[in-house]
Formats: sequence, C-alpha cells, structure tokens
Amino acid sequence: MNGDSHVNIRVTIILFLTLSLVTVLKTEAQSPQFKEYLLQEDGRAKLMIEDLSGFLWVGTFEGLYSFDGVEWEPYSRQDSGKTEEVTALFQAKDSTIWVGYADGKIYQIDNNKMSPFSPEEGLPVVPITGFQEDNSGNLWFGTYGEGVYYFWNDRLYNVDTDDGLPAVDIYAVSRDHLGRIWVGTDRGIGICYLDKGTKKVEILDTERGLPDNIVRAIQPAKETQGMWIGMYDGGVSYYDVEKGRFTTYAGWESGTTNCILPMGKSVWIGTERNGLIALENGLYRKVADCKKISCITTDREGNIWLADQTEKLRMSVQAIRRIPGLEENILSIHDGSEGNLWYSTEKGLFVFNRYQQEIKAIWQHSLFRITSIYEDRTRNQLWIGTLGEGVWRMDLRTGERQLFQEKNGLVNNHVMSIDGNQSEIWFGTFGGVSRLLLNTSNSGFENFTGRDGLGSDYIYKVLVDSRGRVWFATDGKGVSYWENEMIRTIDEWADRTILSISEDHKGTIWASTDDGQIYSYNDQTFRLLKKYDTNASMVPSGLVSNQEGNLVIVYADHVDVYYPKSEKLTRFDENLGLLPPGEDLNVMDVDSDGHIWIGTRQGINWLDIPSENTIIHPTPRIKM
Amino acid sequence: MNIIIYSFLSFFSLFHYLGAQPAIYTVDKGQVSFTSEAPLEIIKASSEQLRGAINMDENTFAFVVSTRSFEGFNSPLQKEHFNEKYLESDLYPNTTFTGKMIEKIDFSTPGEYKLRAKGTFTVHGVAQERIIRSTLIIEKKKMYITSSFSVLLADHNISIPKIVSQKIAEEIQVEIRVELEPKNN
Repeated sequence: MNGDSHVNIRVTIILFLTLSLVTVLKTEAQSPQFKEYLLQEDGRAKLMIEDLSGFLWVGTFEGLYSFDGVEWEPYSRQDSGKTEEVTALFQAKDSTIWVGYADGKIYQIDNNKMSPFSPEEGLPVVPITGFQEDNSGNLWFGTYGEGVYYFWNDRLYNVDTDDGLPAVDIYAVSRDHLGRIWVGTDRGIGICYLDKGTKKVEILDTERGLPDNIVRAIQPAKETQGMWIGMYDGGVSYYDVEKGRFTTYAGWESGTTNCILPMGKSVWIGTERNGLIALENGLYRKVADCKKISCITTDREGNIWLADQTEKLRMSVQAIRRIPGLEENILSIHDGSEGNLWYSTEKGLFVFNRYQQEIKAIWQHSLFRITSIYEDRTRNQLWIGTLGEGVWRMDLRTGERQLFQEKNGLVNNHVMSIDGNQSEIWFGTFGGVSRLLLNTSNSGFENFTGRDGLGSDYIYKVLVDSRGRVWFATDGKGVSYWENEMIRTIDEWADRTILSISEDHKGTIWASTDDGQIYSYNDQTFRLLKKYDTNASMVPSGLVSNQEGNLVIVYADHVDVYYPKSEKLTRFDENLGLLPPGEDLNVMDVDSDGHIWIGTRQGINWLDIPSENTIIHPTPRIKM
Repeated sequence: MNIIIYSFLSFFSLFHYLGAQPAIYTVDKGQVSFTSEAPLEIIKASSEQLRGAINMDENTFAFVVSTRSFEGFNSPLQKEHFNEKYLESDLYPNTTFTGKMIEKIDFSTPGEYKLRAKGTFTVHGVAQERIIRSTLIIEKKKMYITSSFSVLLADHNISIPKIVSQKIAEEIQVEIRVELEPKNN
C-alpha cells in the first residue's frame, strides 16, 4: 500500500460519511406486472373463475362470459330477467358451473348448456353472493339478505338467524378442510354444516377473537388447514381451525377488503379503494394500484387475474415482477448476503434488500460507471469494479473504501467482471485478469494476460466454479480457464467471442457467443444447444443457471428459459410484463432462493422460474 | 306434536294477553287438497278445515289441519287406511306448518306477491323444515294464499306396504287455498 492509498482512504471515508447519510427508500414488494384483457362489449368485470378445462368464466354487471384466451363468448339468461348482473360463480366437482345473479336467480352450465336452477322451494329474491360444495357434494349458497341455502336430497333449505346464523347479509362463502361452509356476515362468521342431516351453525365473532365482525372475504389457506379472513377495516387474519386461534396482523391502513387470495407464504388482498395489497412475512405491502378490486383468482398457469369493475381484466404473470419505483438504467447486479441485491446505476451504488423491501443509496455519484460488483461474504467487503477507474473495496461494517487501480497493481482499470471464493478474488478487465489471494500475507494482485496463455485480454465475464476453476469469457478467443495454477484454453471455442458464462447445479459450464449460440461443456464434452443453432440474429447478453439447473438466457428484448431435462424453451417478454433487458452484458444474477434478477434500462426484473410444465402464456382452448 | 300445537295456540294467545293491536289475519276459509298419482291409481282428497293465521308484524305464520278432516279418496276403505295405517291420525291428529315468510311483504299495499314460507312442516309426527312457495294476493280486507308443493312420504316416516306401492305415490302433491281476514279483537 502506498501513499496514494492512504489519501484514497481518507477521501473515501469523508465521501462515505457525507454520502452515507444513506437514503433509504421503503419500496413495495417486488411488484407484479399486469397484462390487460379488454372485455367484449364493454362489460365491467366483477368476478371470475377458471374451470377445470382452463376456461375463464367472467361475471360482469352486464352478464356472463367465457374466455378461451382469445375469444369472449357471452352466456345470456333465458328468462329475460331483470338483470344480467352476475354476483357469484362456482364450479362444482362434477364440473357444473353455477352462476348466481343479482336478482337471486341461479343458472347452471353443463356441457356449455345453460339452464335455470328451479327447485320446488323457489329461489331467493336477493343477490346470490357465493357458492360452495360440502364434502358430500351438497351445494350451498349465500345471499345478501336471506342468509344461506343448501340443496340436500333434492330440497332447498335455508339457514338464517333463527338457525343461529349471525346475520343474513352474506358477503363471502368458503369451505374449510372439514367441508364446513364458512360465511362472512356483518356480525361475524357463520360456520355451517350438516350433522346427520341436521343443520348446525357455529359462530366466530369479536367475542371469540375475530378482529372485526364485518367479514368480507374468506379463503382456505393453501399450505395449512387454516382460514384467511378479510374484514371491513381489520385487514386480514388467519384462523387456525384445529387450535381455534386467530393470528392478527397490525398495520392495516388500506380500508375495506373485498377479496383475498392466499398465495403460499403470502396473501393478496383486493381492496375497495386502495388497490392490491400483499401480506408477506406478517407485513402489509402495496402491490398495485387498482380502483376497486372485486375478485382475485389464479389460473392453472399460476397467473393472477384481477377484476376491478372496469372493462378490463388484469392478468399478472407470477413469474415476473420488478422492483417498484426503480426506473434507472442498471449497470451491474450482484446477489449479496442477507437478502441484499447490490446494483449500480449512473447515479452510483445502491442495495435492495428483498426481505425488508428497502432500497438504500450506498454511494451516490456520477463520477464513473460501476460495471461489476462482488461481495466477499467472509470478510464483509464489497468489491466495486468501474469502467476506467479501477476497483473499490468497501468495508461493509464501516463504509471505509479503498481504491485499487493500475498504479496499485491492478491489470487494467476497466473492470468488467468480478468473482471469487473464500480464498481468492478474480477481476476480469479489458486488459487481462487480476487475482487477489485473500489468505496470504501477500496482498498484491497477480496479473495474467495473453502472454500468460489467456486467449484475449478483453474479458467479458469471470466465473469461479464449484470446483475452484476460474473461467474467462474472452473477446474473440473463446474461453480460457484457470486450473492447477495454470491458464488453459478450450480449443473448440478458440475463435469465438464469448459474452457470458455460467455453471449449473451439475457443474456443467454454459457459454453464449456473439453469434447467438449456446454451448455446454462438461467432462471434456462440448455440446451445441441446437435450439439456438439458427438464432444467429439474436445475441444473448447474458446467461445464468438457477438452482434446478434451468438455463436463463437474456436477450435485448426477452428472456428464454431452457429446461435441459425436457429441452423445452419458455419465453418471457414484454407481453408478460418483462422489462426489455437491453444489450448490456451480464447485468444479471441468481439469488439464494433461485430467483433471477435482470437489470434493464428501466429498472430490475425479478424472475421466478416456473416449473417446466407450467404454461406461461394463456393458451386458447377449444370447447368440446 | 303437543309442542307444535302449543306453539300454534300461543301464536294467538300472546297477542291477546298483551292486549296489543296485532296485525294478524286468520283463516276464514282454508282448503288443503292432495293428489297421489301412482301408476295404478290416482287418489285425491281434501279438507276444508285448514286453520291458521299470519302475523304481519312478525312476518310469521301458523297453519294446522286435522288429519281426520280429509274427505274424498276412492273408497271408504282407502280413507280408513289413510287414517289408521298410514297417517295414524289418532296418534298424530294434526298436520301443521309454522314458520316465517322469507320475503318482507308490504301488507299495506294491495297486490299480488310471490313469497316463500320457511318453516317446520309436521306430518305423522315427523317435523321437516320446508320452504314452500306461495302466491299472496292482498286486497283491502282480505288476503288470499295459494300454494302447491310436494311431500315425500319417506320424509315423514309414512311407510306404504309393498303390495299397494303401485297404487300410492311416494311423493304426494299438495295444494292449498286460503282466504284470510283481519282477526277480530
């Protein structure tokens, strides 16, 4: 370390103290993107379900429609009723679609034929608010004004306050794992069931721990045997059915809940006035602005559909999200420890913590471009590579920074890629590579260039693999790698420009070239990914493998996911809400949960790679 | 059965005891008829002794008919079997239907209304909850109710010997016509 370094340290400490009045931006959870589907005939969508065949049924103020992914098909009542307003939709186990209307009429659809439900007992004269089926296959439905009905042994029976129901205005109808029917009312929850043919009603209300008696939405939990409950102004609560215990979540400030959708570890909440809220890790976070969400549902592809009483349906591909509020040009990305995603923009260095959902400005400046980041987790240090200014080392505990440049022994000041492990860090530059050994008293750089066997001095990517080999993607000279203290080159790739390189969970090395081809290398065996053999017009700007070994290939305007097992390819593009990644190389990383983060000129994409059997694009279906 | 009759009677006596001016209409003329349409025989019978009342304030009702009051049938023996073997009229002398109207009717406005009566229908000592559709016509000083519904004999533990199963339907069609007047205090 020379005198310049001491000056640098002093300067950087001052800089850090000045700038580490760190700006903290509390952001929302990774925000889903929505694609809009315009309803036919200007209907206003209130609710929807996906049937067992994959058709979407949409209830609107103006009538019922089915949607096959392309076409809308109207289903009109045959009784010229007072209204076509659909207020409840349900598919029974026998595939019958049940449709409830605002005037109390009920229709059923079997084999695409619509017929009125006409029990001898007649039908309600108030809106039908929901259907369910108990374990014996009996149909139950709620009404707004007449309580609950069930159809048992070809007779229609009513459950109201005389039977113990808390109130007769039913907002929500659901079913627990025991097959009991849960209904939300203004006076708590009624749990209805038949015990040897006799109707029974149990009540859950504020006296029993319910935070708010006005229950607007009820849904069974996905992974447990509990129930999620959405309330008028109490947010949502979880009820453990077995233990009879409520879990409540403080901090609800989003008004009336209209609908909820349990989503594994989170719950999505559609509100009357405050858009879409997610409950994640016990905290409420705004996910999207919508006017009046009356229904949230999910389809077989895992997409989320929203009805917000407008002429559009909104569909969100769950696999794609982005960091809301972040619309900068992203120059580099690195997944760090404790949920930190380090990224740089033209304004400096930032970190997004995916657990706390916070963006922090770590180092705001516009003096140089940060082109590579690497966190040395063992030593709590961040290495920050720049274009033309060398590399900075930042102590993450103190914020102290130290600059390393050519004059300090770095091979070149244009640092395009950094990677390492517990014992060494490698810097890929436009003038060769530098290695820094971490566990020795010698703290200087070791440099390697073409003279040392490196194919080219222009390095686009450095990769330290799971076996301790170090791979270098070079410009025009293929791939070189470091093994047993020697640099070697792979002859088969010798004349190629390698733009990106990655290792999958089996140790296979994947490389992309500037002529659009993808290669794999494993145990001396090369393989050209044939699906990309003719794609020379498209040049990947990066590739990375996730935990399952699926390969994510990034292009300027889309992302392909290649599933090696099935050789299937799935494309994510703007139509699904993806921000176009742009042409900057290797602005991507995979986090510890296997999610892919891709920097773009307008922010950061978050990609949760779905299983290969998942159909991402809604596909048209044909009615038989 | 005694409880049902007690309820029925108390429906009237409570208002009398309180000395209130109850908005009660009682049956002036009431007819119940039923039809059993079996493959080998159609049986019809009716009673003019349907009694009952509607409490307009409470939206409740109570009706009763003596089982033995049914006339008609295809033969005296058939009537005897009806009372002695099937309905066991000595044990269960009355058929009742008590409950409330699901729809909120504006009884002060003449007109025709469709309503559903939810209540306990008791035949042969077996009570079943039923919802029965009816048409209500309100005139200035009269109300008329007509209704038709079905009764499954099995629902009320009325067992029919196999030998006559082709002559008696498992499901009986019932029709009701009622004329009601304001109750005199």
